[in-house]
Amino acid sequence: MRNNKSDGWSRREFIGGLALTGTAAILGLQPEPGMAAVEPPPETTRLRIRKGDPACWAPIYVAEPLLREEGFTDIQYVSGLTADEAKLSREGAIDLSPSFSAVAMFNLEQQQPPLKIISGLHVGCYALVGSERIHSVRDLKGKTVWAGAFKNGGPHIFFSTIVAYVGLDPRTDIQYSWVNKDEAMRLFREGKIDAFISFPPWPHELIEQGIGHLLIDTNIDKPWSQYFCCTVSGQSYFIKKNPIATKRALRAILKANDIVARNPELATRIVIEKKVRNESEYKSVLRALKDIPYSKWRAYNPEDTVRFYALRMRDIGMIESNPQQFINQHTDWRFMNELKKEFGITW
Amino acid sequence: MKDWLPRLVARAPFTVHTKLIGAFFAIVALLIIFGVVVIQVLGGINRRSEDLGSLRRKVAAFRQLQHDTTAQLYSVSTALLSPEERMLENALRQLNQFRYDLDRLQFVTRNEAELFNKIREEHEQLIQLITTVLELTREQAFTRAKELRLTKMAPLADSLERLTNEMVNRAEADMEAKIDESNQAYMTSRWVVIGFAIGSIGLAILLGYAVSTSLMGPVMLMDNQLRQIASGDFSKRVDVPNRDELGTLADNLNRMNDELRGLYQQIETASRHKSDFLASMSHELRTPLNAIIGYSEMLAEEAEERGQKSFIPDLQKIRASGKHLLALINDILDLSKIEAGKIELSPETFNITGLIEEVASMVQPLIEKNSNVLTINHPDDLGSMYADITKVRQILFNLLSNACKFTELGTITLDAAREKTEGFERLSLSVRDTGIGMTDEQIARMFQPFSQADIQTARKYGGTGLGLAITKKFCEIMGGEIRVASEFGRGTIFTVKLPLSASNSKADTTSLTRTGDPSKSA
Repeated sequence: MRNNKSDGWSRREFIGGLALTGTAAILGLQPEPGMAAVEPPPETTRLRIRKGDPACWAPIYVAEPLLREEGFTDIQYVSGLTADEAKLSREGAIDLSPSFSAVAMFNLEQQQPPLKIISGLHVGCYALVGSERIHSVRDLKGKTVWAGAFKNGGPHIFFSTIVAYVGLDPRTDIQYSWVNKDEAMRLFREGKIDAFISFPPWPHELIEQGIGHLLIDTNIDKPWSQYFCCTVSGQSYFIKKNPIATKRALRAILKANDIVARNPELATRIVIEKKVRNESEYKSVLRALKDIPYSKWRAYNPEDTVRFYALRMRDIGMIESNPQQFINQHTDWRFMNELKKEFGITW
Repeated sequence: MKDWLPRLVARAPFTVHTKLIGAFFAIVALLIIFGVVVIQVLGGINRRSEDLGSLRRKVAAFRQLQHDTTAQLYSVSTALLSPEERMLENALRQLNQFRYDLDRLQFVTRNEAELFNKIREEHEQLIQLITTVLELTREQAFTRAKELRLTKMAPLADSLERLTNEMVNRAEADMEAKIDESNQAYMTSRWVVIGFAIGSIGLAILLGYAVSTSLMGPVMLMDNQLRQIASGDFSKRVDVPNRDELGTLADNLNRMNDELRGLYQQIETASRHKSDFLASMSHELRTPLNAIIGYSEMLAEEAEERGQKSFIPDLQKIRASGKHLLALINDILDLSKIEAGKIELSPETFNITGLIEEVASMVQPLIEKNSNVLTINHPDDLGSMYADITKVRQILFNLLSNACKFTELGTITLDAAREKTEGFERLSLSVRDTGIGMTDEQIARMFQPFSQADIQTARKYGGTGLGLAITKKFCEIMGGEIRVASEFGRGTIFTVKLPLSASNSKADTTSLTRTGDPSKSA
């Protein structure tokens, strides 16, 4: 049994301390100007956030006590794959939803769900691991790659933008192995797959086991490292009806980025306790959370992330709208723009 | 639409000239509008191309700035690792490149002052930091220099890179938007051009149809009306709605039609009166003439019986003159009946050979009178024909007696045969003589009533000049035809062709030919 106390903070202490002194004080964060206290209370005290597999979405789980501080008393994490995001939003079952930028954009364009991208979440998370035979992305031409268990899923879309960036046609130049993740990892170990792309913690698990090497690490490698990897979308009706609640929720989630950056061990614990990942994956999750530059979110412009991915995806025909059309139709930066002043963001 | 538009054009109160000019100008106006649209489309394409060029220049300038920032960081790192004066000077000199890049950026983003100021501000900070780091290095304060580079310079360069990336993305996004706009404009322009082209063609066709129909319609109506008038039908009037010259022309045509109808009716009445007069006069003349002829014959016989032979020649002259006068009156009566349309055919089946022999017998005295020889040629199986035997007999008699009259000591040949032309069987009767023949002028007026070759001929050979006119009319009434070929001084050939089954059809098929040798032309 792992000791819950890591880096001096247990989750119990974290929550308890929050109740007494406030999260910012506990974490040594500087109070932001224009704090929530001067704002009207949220229009609703219920908040439903989509919960998915990726460990990199740690801030949305870590944000729970901050959300309570913002006035939400009924916080629900609704399980649902990215593929189900459109359905859940149409049913009104979720209010906020984290997603990979490119996947969110693909689904918004293809399925037109009632969702708007309202903010970036964090920078970098995906990693492309290549076998020993592969030295660059262009070497993947004609090779077999695992990019998720099904077409047009997160890994596949993200991988498509990566290979298209170096002139390969993701539709014709690559052979895909549409098997499940565990099977894919086995095939990769056996040398039957040449590359493997995924969000944390699995690429890091392979690297730790000494299998393959990183071809693209979106934490570090440009241009991917210069844009948000994941974004936060809001259900259209919810954000329209509850602008204060949306802004308060977004503030909490963005602040949680800083908590994850300062205390990845605590964030890892919370991710495991929320049953996002298993106890057995603690090490790889921790490594992933340490690698992801959660503290950089202030420096990144989410609109430019959308613009960048819109350009890349349009190049390969995954979306039809031009970047500005997409931004006009599928994004809503009102909340982020208000929080910019509060957080001292200059972009 | 097929009717109302030409009618509308026709009723427009303008002259034909104005209408044609109007249609022409409408098409020219369409062509001008079409040209303007095309020029605007091309102008739009050109404008968008310039915009794209401007965006490309902007992207290139941003990339250059990004590249030089990276190069500068590399220079600084190298200078820190190897703090030689040459390296430091090199790094410091590279700062000039920044200023040059900023000048370029200022040029390509001259309409985006805010953007440029933001980038310049960050670059100024970076230049300041680099200068400080390099000065610290020169002073050998390496620890402070490295710290400054890591904590301030690198994040600032990172931020600057993101900012320039953002600008590049913005420019690329603008390019995409322009490309979309261009595609959209192309699609719109294409449909506008196609629409205009189709519209212009359609309108040109419509105008052409409307104008031509409004002009040609009345012309054809009037042409038809003129044909009706020419055929003697004055019962119809032409209805032209035009308010232009054609309308006026149609009114005049109707007026002319009315006047001609009145005149025709007057002529018809006069002609009827003439025929009636001739018929009654002929009848009135024949009664005393018959008495004169009869009594002169009786007196001649009595003079012979009483031996008073000296009276006989005078009485015979009286009888011959009476008969001549009677024949003349009969011919005039026939002609007037024909002209009055009162001739009726009485067809019957008769043997052709029998008829020929009968007529040959009738003309025998005339043959002998001028010491001519009559030769008759016909096949044995001439058979019979269904026609008015009286008229056929008169036709053949007229031709043979005519030949006898103008031939002396010559030969008169009658050729008869059946012939089949275009599925119809006809009887061909050809009378050839070796007489005086005719000139072209004589032939031209030969079939006119009271017209012999000339006055001298009439005096020399006698006759009324009605025989051939009547013969021709009889041929036509029976659906046949008569042809003549003649050479002056050599002889003449008359050829009659009659249907073997005669009808009342009337055909003007007379034709005249002139041949060098009448015997050959027969």
